[in-house]
Amino acid sequence: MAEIRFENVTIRYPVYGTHGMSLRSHLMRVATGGSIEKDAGTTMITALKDVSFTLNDGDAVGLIGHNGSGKSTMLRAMAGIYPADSGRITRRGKTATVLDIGAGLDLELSGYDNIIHLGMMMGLSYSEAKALTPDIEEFTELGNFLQLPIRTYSSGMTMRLMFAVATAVTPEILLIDEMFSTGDSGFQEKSLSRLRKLISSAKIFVFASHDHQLIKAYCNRIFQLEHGHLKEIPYETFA
Amino acid sequence: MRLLQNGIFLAWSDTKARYKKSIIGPFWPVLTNLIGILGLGIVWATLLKEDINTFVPSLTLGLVAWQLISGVLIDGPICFYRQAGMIKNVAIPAWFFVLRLVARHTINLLHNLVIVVGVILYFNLPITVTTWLVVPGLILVILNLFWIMFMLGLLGARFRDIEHLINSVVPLLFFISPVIFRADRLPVSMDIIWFNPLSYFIEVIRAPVLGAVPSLTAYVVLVGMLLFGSLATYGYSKAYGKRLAFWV
Repeated sequence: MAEIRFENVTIRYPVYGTHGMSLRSHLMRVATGGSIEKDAGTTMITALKDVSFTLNDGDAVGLIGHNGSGKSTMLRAMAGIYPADSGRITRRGKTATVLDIGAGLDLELSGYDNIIHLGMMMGLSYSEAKALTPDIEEFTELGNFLQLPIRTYSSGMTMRLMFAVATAVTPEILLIDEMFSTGDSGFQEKSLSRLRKLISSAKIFVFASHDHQLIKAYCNRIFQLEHGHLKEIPYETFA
Repeated sequence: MRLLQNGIFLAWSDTKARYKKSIIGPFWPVLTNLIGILGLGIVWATLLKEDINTFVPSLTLGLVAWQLISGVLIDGPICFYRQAGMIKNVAIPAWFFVLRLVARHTINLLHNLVIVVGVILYFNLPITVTTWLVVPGLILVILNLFWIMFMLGLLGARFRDIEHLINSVVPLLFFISPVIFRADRLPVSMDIIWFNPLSYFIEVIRAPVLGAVPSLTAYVVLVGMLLFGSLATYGYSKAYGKRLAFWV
């Protein structure tokens, strides 16, 4: 059984300016009690404020909100990448993420090698990762391109590969950031039908998007983020 | 456990990937070292008025050990933020990246064993029980390098100038560590060299192959560093390590 539970979660994170990453200015700040280097170029951003919810098997959540409203932070917190400043995050279940396009890919290696590498970094054994290859080959339709280094791929092709790897192992929790903007319509169709299969296997699915129709079609709960505050919108009234 | 195996496997495939496009592949670094040792050996043996038969083996081991140490030191501060894409997108424990890099440097070291074996044969160094002390020595050094890299990686991700600091300190360390020279050839007034912990790193690797038992002090220092350093790193990563994803 998969579960994600947020209890009064607040996430603040620092954005370092040019000086914030400097050891010298940090030492100055510590040594002088902060009186000299006031403007260290570090800004604290509160991305989530006091967020609580529980997700269980079968929940497919559509995450909406303006740019910068905290959607990506929310997904990373769900994945266990960002820690909570206060409150508690509980997560149970094998998680797969599709967040940044191309993250974790080695541009110099071929598509095949990257499949193995990504799989192994997600904790599969070599043979398990290797076994995914035919399925990914078939799904991405990249054919001979899989033998070429990733740096020769277009963003659409990279997206296909990333998406295929993340969804090749049936994860219990699947977190996806806005991604259907790349890829041609044929691939969009294909990935949507793959998503449908994943969702129907009764696990948790969270999808951040600006496309309300997509969300309406694939999700059964709607979360709206606004300046870090979370509001659940009843599915029926969402359009 | 699975991640441990995977880390080592990936280090191995990183190494293989680097050689893919060259014909003699893995023998490039070996060749580079061989040339370096020959050149340095002849010049420095003359300069330092050393017997070439003892100087070259000592220099070889010194350089091979130094490559491991300096490689880890230089890669340390960038070991996390070069992997920013992965750290920001998949929840992988941080030690995985450290392991992968330390394993890669260890594999490099194993390449160089060819040279060491060559030197042993050419200069007829006797292989005795003492020689095998190099194995525990090497293990101690690698374990120490693990926490050093972890710590440098965390600091380097938070403070970007650590990378430059290390880059400028490593060449200096090369000269104050007994890589080229032998510590026992220095006048007593230079015993200060033993305040440099890296001297012990080299000692436990080099002395056994040259037929001497490393001093007990060397082992005490290494074990002490390992315990203290690992604890400090563990504490630091427990306290701040989870913020790593914000730093990179």
